[in-house]
Amino acid sequence: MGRFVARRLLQAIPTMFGIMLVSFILLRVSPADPVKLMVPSDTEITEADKDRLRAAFGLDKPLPVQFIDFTVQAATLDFGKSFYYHRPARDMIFERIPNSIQPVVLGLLVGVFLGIPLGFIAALNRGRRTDHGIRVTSVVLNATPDFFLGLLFVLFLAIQFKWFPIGSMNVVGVDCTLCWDRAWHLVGPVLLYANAGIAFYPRLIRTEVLEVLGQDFVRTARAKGLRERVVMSGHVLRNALIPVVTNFGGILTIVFAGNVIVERVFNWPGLGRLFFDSLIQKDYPIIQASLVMGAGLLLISYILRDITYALIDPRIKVR
Amino acid sequence: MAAPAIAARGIVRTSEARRAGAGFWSDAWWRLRHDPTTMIAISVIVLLVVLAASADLLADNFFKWSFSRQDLTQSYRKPTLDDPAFWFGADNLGRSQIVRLLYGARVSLFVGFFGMLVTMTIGVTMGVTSGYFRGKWDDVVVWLVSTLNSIPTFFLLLIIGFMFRLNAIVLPLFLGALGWLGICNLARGQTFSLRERDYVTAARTIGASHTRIMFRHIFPNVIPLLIVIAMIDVGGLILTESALSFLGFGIQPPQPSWGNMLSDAPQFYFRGAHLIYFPGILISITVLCAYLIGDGLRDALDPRLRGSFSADK
Amino acid sequence: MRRYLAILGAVLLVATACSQQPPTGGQEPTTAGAPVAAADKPVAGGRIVEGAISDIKTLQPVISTDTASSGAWSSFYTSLLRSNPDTGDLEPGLAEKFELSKDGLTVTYTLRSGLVWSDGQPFTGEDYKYTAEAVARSPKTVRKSTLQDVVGWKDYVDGKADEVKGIQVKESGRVIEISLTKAFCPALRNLSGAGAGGILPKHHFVKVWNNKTTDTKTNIDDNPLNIAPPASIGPFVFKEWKPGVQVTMTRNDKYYRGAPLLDEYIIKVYADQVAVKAALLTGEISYGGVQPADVEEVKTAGSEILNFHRFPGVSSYVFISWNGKATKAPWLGDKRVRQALTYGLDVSSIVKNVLLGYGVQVYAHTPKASWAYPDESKLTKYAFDQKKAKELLEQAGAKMGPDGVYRWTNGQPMQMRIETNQGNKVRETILQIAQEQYKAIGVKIDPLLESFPALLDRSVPQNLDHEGVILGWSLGLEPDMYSIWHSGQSGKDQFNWVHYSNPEVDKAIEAGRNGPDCSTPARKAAYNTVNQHLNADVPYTFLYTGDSLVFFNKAVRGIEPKPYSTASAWNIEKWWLKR
Repeated sequence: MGRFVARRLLQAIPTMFGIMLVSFILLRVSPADPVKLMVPSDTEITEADKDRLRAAFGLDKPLPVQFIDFTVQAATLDFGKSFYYHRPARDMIFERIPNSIQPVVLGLLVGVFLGIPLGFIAALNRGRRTDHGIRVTSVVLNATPDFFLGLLFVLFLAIQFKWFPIGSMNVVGVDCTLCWDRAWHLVGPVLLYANAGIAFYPRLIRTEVLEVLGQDFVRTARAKGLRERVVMSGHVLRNALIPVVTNFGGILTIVFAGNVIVERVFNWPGLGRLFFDSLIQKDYPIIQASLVMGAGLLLISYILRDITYALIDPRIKVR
Repeated sequence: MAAPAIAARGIVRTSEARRAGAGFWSDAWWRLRHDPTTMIAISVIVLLVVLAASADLLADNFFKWSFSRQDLTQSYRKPTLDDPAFWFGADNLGRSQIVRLLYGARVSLFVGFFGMLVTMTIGVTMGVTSGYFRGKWDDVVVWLVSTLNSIPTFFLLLIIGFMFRLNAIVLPLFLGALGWLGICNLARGQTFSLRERDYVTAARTIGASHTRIMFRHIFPNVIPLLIVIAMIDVGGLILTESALSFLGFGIQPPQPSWGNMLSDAPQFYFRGAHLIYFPGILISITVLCAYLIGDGLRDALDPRLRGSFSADK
Repeated sequence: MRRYLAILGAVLLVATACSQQPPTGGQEPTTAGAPVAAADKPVAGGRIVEGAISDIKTLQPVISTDTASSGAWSSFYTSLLRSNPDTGDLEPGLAEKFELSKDGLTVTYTLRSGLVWSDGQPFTGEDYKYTAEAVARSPKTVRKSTLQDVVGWKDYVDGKADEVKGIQVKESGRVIEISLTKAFCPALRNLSGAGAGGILPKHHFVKVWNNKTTDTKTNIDDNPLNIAPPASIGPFVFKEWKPGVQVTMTRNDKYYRGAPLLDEYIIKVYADQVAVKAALLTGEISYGGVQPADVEEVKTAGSEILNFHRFPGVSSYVFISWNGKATKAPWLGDKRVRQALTYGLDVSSIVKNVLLGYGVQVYAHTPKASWAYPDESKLTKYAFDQKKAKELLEQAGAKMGPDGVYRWTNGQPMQMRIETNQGNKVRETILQIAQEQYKAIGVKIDPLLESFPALLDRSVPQNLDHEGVILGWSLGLEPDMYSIWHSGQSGKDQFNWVHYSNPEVDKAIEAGRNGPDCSTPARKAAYNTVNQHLNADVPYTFLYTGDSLVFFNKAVRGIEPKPYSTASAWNIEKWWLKR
């Protein structure tokens, strides 16, 4: 197992390198250098001052050198200081992680705990009205843009009925994490994140359960006279959950993308907002740090997925 | 009824490859015609395509209102039956929403279908060649796929959208360039098994060129599965376009797209809810139809796959 | 957005006698009226929340570059002088006397006596000097040019001296005397913030960076005090900063203009204008700015809880620049063509329909509200006149082509681009209008939308491949316009990208900037000359100055709109909350 992990980590290095190269090139070939963008209408600043700023940001070095700096930074997880905040990009990201992670984790949990049972119910009622209902709902949800759902949530539940706040993490003046106020603000974002799971899992699980149900070992188990509950939990559930694990990476990608949108719709001060703002200002350290850390998280989740996959499915050997 | 196969393990398990012949396609068509859901979905898409194609004609002759014409006295006008141009109401600048939606349909459908073609072209080429030649080239493709796979794609698209001005041609090119991974995997897997087939070996023995084998023997057998994925892809691409445009990084005004019509949406919370519903619902319907067609096509093309569905959002 | 607030001060028109009354909007009555009974007496206590739409980046003036941040730190760190809210002239702030010597080479500020920081330490000239020297050694500041003419500046910057010789602190800290290497008329205003805009408490900051040093490696750019201001000389004291969320501050009981009535002041950050609007309507924030297009909606939906205030902008305007050296449009070098283009655009209807009336048309560079505003009766108004536009084009030598587009003297069809930044709805609309109206006078326009960074890269003097550009200037209260209109400012990345060159204008600009007579009447005369030339030469088609539009919650009282306060909250210590 140790060797497997080590090998996968080694394999991830060139991948990471590719990601960094692509994002680095994209950022540098794009118009307007960050210093110019910082003071677009400051007519008094001299060229010498701008050059000095560039030097302070390390933008005066030749591009290959800048890229090497970037790789060193990525290796040490020290991405330099934000051009605007003048604080380490890493710290800024870390300080926003708790904000982002609350709705994401809750949303994923809600998605899983609603999505998986729904998939089961659909499979066990195959062809009946329940099955159709669940399938149709999940396809419709899948076809609806997240931001549109968010807009509808705000329009109806926040503005029309005033059941929920329009956005933010807390009411002004309240500052707490484990409290009703936060829970109340979390509803909207959590539902949006959960949508990915609710739209995605039922169909997946349904297919999987149906397949497992048709397989020999289930028939054998039933023939042996095992009780239905045992068959279901011991054999069917275990096997049907495999794709949930294998598709976790996919869900994570959706969450990453959704992050920017959810945090914008609900005015949530998390990583997506930070990334979005930094992008507009061309704050390289934060953009680069977000990309590297985001990609790193994805890679790690893939590795974890493979390990878990191997653990719950004995047919797969970890090599 | 055989056990339904799955399309869920990341890579779809290859179905028994079958030479796609005349009988195969007519069978499929027969099954399709007897699937009302899919037929409805197809009609909706066809209708949208027709409407989008005739947007100029309709705007000039029927609605008598161009997509950019503003009339500030009409701003936020609610939907009304009095004047065809305002069937769906007017936006904040007093522009006809229905006309703008028609032009928006052009963008969404074009981005969806053109993007799908790009995706397909890259994905199939990469997949089939890497599956066929294997070796070094395969390693390169696998590395590329895994690299692109672990990029938070949407972040990258945001960067591209911010740095460069995207239009309806460039955007699908980028979307395609980043979105061919699934198809490549599929095509590669299929090719792996197909190239060991007797008839391929036979073709090789009689000296058929690589190109010929790939085009004549492998590619046709990959098609059925790809058509299914292609439709699901169309849906996904439309969603991505709308999300990017919503954030202001996709199609740029004054060119209307359903997504960028919604980028102003929060402006309308208090006065023009009709400006939120229509574009959003149209996106959902279009994407839904694309998914349903994909589903229906799978059933039609390969009934043994019935019920499986693996559209990643 | 804080920008609105900042402008709010610089703003206000009505010099009306409504100073006793609660906020009334500029030229129009407040929405729901609700005049406050005279019996309403100010009470202490309460909290005000301001909505900003851009994240606060730092709370330290030297390294701050954006309006959201300066909006926040200006509650703690202020400059020595204020602008008179009624006239816009400089008036005493922390300094009770200020003087620029006759030769324009010496600036003297005399501080009020008994000034103390919120922690009880005295405020002295050493704080000023420390801040100026922090600017000198900061690699990341964008403000060095403000102080570059101070004697001994260069030596200190380069580490050849351990202090800036030209800044002398006398009379146990009460008098600051600054010597300049050359006369600089805007010096009094420009130097009053020690280069940074806000003066830092030396007694705290010296612990993280000592200014008495020749070591240029050390600086103030990175230290924990930058995000946690340790003491305040302004109306509020820093309490807490939650990054990306809000900055909370509390009353400064030692504020030299009197302790504020409010207990707490919060600046809350929103994702965009729309979120601010929603927060206004739900009553979550006490005040915030909106766009012209939103005014009617917020007025209607928020009539119960909100008052509308309209403040004419004093320091900004929007224009279409015409590149006099455009390679693809040689006709733009001809003044008559530019005049034709100005006659051919209905600016007053743009103000009416695009800005919905929330702005004024401008005819030259200096904004209407500035003391340097020229004699308007001598300016050409360029009222919309398509016939006249065509005549001017023909006088310039253009011949009408068969397709309705003029041919220039060299036979080239008069077709060119006008570009602006995508995402700015107002400018996009102006572009569309210009395209239509110029078609009617036989000039074909290809509209081009660029991302803002791309537009910045294109609108520079070294790039001759641009013709018309719609952009806006945001100017300070200081009328000096050297870097925009002086012919020497057409070098790489400078701001005279239209290559405007007029010896008389150059002379007048120099006189207004470097004297020898720095008196207000002399400068006013100089800028009058500049503006008349600009008005006649139309290197830009000057469009309009937009108003800043702010909604206040009705509970907020004591706001006194004045035409020229540099900060919205010029009298924030008098604001109070009706409960």
